[in-house]
Amino acid sequence: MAKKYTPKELVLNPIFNNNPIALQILGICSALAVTTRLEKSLVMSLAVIFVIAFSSAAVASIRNRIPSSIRIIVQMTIIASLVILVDQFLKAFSYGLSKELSVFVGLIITNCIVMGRAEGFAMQNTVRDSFLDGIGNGLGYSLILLVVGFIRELFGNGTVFNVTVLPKIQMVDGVQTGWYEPNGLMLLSPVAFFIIGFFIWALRTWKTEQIEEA
Amino acid sequence: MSRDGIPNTIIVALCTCLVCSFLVSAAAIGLRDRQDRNRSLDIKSNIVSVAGFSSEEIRDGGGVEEMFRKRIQPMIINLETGEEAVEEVMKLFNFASADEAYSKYDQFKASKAPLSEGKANALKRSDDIAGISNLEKYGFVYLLTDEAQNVKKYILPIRGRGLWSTLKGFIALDPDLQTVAGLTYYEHAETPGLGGEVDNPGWKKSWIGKKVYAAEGKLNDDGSLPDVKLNVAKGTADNEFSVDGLAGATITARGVSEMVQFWLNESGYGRFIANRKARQSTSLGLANSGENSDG
Repeated sequence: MAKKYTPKELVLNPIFNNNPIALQILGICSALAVTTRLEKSLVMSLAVIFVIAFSSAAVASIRNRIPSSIRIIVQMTIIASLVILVDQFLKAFSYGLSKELSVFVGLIITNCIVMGRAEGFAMQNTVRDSFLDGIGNGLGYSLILLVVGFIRELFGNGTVFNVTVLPKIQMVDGVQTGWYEPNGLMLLSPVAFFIIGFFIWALRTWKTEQIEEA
Repeated sequence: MSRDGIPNTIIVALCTCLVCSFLVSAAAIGLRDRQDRNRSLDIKSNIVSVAGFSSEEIRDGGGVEEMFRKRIQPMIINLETGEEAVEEVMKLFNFASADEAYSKYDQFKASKAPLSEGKANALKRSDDIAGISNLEKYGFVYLLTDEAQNVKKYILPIRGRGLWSTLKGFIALDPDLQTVAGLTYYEHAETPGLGGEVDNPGWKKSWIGKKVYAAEGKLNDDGSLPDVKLNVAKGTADNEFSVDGLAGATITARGVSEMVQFWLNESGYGRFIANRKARQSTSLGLANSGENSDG
């Protein structure tokens, strides 16, 4: 049987010690796409936490019955159903954001982190452990999303959660107000790569055991 | 029973599918009302914003519903004749009142009705440049009016094929029915960042002030509309009829171009526009006959 984990370990480890994006470099695609605004990042994070936690728990609950020949398909079916659930809820309760996130909610299905936890952890561990592991990995993913979203929204648009922090240069009735010229580059995807890169650099300077052997 | 045996495989597959499909359908049905309400609110907010109100103005005006009720006047017209036709729609669709028709009539749904019900006509392939196959008989026109009931803007629904999806939106025209006042899409599934750039506020703004018809929008001698010249350019726009193309979205941009041409031509709202123009020129002719003689 697999080794014992403490709940704290399960939830906190994936945040800094074994971050799915920073250490395992998974789930990069959506981290580039949905981080132009912090609000989008937050909703995406919550959606992914929900999907990982419940899909891992569901897979763990039937792990001893899933035949190995169809295990990937069973995992996919569970994950896909949960994603559709999230999508339906967003459409009902946050229509504007669900339109902005558009296909990226649906693409949670293909987020490698979700599948990776189902196949790599939930198939060998108890329901409770898998659920906590899912939450932990979701939080690890969220951390990066929120950091990237914060930086991109702040410098790309001068706002945080749509509240103006750096007043933009604007002409109001012929008078110039504000002083911040938004950096449009921040709203383009490549910038997310740079920010994630810097984040990984900072993390590995702090936790040197994460540095890969050259 | 062995875990990897065929019976167990089938049982697990079946049970997973059953449970999952139950969850998904329960969510879809349980949330449908809320989603529909959101969708109709979203359509209204698109109408209000294409009419030129900023989000601050909408907030100060008491929200989308309030603004829509106060400033936007819906009309249902017969596309063939271009005349008001709300009574015909009430009869055909069994609406009890005009208000019910305005709130419940869905021209997109009507276009999908079986042709035998007389709610839509099939388009000839060669005419169907917007790629919508069936055209409804009755369409909405939304009028932005001021306190004195003068029309400030005409807002027309448009739709047509892009690359992956049917784009649905609105085009707003100034009272001269010649100058574009705005364009917006409320529903499409084009690639984000490429065709999805139809939602880009900068690009949407570039439509404002563009001209629609040739010959300065004057009707031909036989009362028909001049050609629709408004289009999306392949590349950079170089005249008053063209809007810049979208990089990396050739097919979506062509779809947008063809759908504005379809809906602003006699095939779509052209009859309505021609009638309005004819009426305008007679009333203008009477009022301004002296002033405008030197052009």
